Amino acid sequence: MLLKNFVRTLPGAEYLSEEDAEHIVAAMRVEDYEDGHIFVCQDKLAKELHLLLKGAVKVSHYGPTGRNHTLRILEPGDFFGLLSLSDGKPAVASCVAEKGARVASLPFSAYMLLYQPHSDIGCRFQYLLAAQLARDLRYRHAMLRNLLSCLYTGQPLSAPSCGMEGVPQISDD
Amino acid sequence: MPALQDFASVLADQIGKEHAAMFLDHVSLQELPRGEVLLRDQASVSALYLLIEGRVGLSVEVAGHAIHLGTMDAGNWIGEVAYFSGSHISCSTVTAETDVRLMRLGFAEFGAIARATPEAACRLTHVLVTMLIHRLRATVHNPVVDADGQLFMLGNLSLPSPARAAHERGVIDFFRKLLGTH
Repeated sequence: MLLKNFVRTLPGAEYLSEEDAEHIVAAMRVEDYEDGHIFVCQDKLAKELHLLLKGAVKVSHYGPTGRNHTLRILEPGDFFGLLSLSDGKPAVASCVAEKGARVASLPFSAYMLLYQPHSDIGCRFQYLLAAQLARDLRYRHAMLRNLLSCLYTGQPLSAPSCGMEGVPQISDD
Repeated sequence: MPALQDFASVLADQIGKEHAAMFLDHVSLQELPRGEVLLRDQASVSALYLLIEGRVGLSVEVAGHAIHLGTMDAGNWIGEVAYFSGSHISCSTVTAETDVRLMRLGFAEFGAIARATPEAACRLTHVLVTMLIHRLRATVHNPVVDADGQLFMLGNLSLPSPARAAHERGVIDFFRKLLGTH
């Protein structure tokens, strides 16, 4: 599947035209990464908006005791680096390549043009951002429910859904 | 009940008078007395709500236990996670902490506005994106259980010394107090 078609299958992309998707994809750089590659480093500013196309990305956090905690495994179709990029504050977790990740990256300058809703394409891009942020917050709350369940029953709930059901796999072409 | 026009400025302050006008034909006013639940965690939801007067509390719940997440004041929106995640399921319980007044915009109406007047809907979406970013940042210090079942908190765990003095009854009581659980 072509990247522009993949982008149009993402949650929140229903208002993007084919031309919008072509413009967004034209600004992206697609690369395959070795496992262990760090896209976003905890306590540092994100420099690009990343879209996971294949493989996985581990989101992890070094706690105050020096232990590395895995918070979440991202799936194809997930954007990451969004929070730090949008509010200009350091990332609270690191994002690391796993399972032969293929990632499309959008430079900060292009992201900021899309983040502002003053152009037609920026306007329609807002829905993609909103969909990702909503999934992130929903996942965060699911983790809190897990914590409650652990506290009171000793058992976590089933793994929270990432909300990416129905997003097709991108091909190797 | 006061007229909708009396509160139009709350919406206009966020997205501009011209764009706010597009929404006013599609919203309704709703009042909720203190203590009433507007949305229940994990229950279905069909509308976005703009809080125009009062304050609500947010919590997540499991089997009768809850973690209080915080409060939201007038000018904030409720229901955006359910809408934009596509789940139409509330991700928290929203309870009126005072008498509240809300502007209700059905998901279907919002979708219709997005198709008919995309610019107005996108201005509101940008406001909601900004609020989602703020809410995600605000939850950074929420405790979490990692993939190995380890409980921890992102960021600084330090409590001010008066608060530390109040937690001397064991680990579970410490966490219940810390999380506002009951």
